[in-house]
Amino acid sequence: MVADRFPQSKAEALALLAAGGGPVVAGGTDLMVKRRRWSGLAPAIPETAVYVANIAELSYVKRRGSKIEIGGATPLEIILEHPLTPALLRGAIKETGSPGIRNTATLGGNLVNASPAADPALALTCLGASVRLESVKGVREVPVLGLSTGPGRTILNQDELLTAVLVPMDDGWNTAFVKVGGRKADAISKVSFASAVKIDDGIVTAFAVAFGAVGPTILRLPAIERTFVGLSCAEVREREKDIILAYGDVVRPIDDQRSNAHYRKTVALNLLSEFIRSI
Amino acid sequence: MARIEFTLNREPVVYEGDAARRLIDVIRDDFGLKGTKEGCGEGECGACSVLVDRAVVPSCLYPVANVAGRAVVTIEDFRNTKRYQVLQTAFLEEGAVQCGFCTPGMIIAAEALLSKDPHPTAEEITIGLSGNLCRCTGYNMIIRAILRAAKDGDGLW
Repeated sequence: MVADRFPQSKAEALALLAAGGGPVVAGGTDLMVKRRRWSGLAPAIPETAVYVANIAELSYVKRRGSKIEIGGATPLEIILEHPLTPALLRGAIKETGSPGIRNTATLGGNLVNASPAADPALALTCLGASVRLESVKGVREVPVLGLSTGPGRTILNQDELLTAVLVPMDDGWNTAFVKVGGRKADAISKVSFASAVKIDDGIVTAFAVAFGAVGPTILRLPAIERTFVGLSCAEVREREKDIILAYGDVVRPIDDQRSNAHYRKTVALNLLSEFIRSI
Repeated sequence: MARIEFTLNREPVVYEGDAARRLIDVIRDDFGLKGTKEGCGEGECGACSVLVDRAVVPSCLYPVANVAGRAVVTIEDFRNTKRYQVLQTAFLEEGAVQCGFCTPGMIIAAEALLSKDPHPTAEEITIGLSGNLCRCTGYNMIIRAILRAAKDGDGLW
């Protein structure tokens, strides 16, 4: 009976969730702090929790058609060291936590924790990655953009488990990840910025930018991005002011213990300017 | 109540209790191994570093549930190795220990780093130890100590 709480397979985990189990605990690096209590007391995680970090079939990196598929419970350090990992995701993971945190934290956990400041989630949003959500009732694939509905909130149903992340390969793209934090390691981003652009013969054929920690969720606006596709690099650069104005309307950060709204907005738009000028 | 079997310092052990307890509390309070220190309690300082399946992890963030079937090594067991002797000598020679509170975590992080990369550059050491804070020595001595250990302990890692 007790052993049931430590599922050895995906099927066992889904059955536990279907029976009302939860929350899902992966690496625990966020949850153990959020649920922390006084020294000596266990964090406030109920007995119904479903621990998934030791499910071997949820930890892998592999090629799947034109995408890279990463198991939901794969530790970040494994992804960082894997040769298939897209450059933008690798860049973001490198800036996440420290080796110890990356050995412990999982990619699925980073997404479901739904922090607007999450670095791997920012790279995945920018790359147009999707996730596979599974329950005993079935499987659905949804974009990472839209997975989170606010800090700590997602569209996952109680019985669903994030089992895999599907990431488009970014070969031939120019990508960059910039993080502004209080310390080189182990810092939660004050502001972060990811960009991915594809240029063929001087023409922008794909364009994506995403901001972290400037709103309740990671910010990416495909409607604005689409207006740059088909333009020459010079034309995009000429529109720098308009682009900054357009994003200025929607970049709405807050004041908190890590930074303040004014600084965040200034830095976020400066990072965007720098990126536009580099195209 | 959960029953969790794992290996602690090469001995098979059984834990019975709340599955959500922090590994550091289990190590220190249940097994009496006080060499692993609690600094910040939120994964930022690395004082609580232990090895789980030879990888460095912050034991203050690690639910004991997740060590099921895994091998945990703390400073109390690592100190019986030749590698530890080399690291200890290098830390002493280079003045890399002052108050000593961060040192068990530093040694564990150094072991994890050298196991992966026996001859790291100073920059690679900085990255390998980026999760460990020291408020006394200012890091330069620690980095020098690990460079020295890599050289003096050539072949051990």
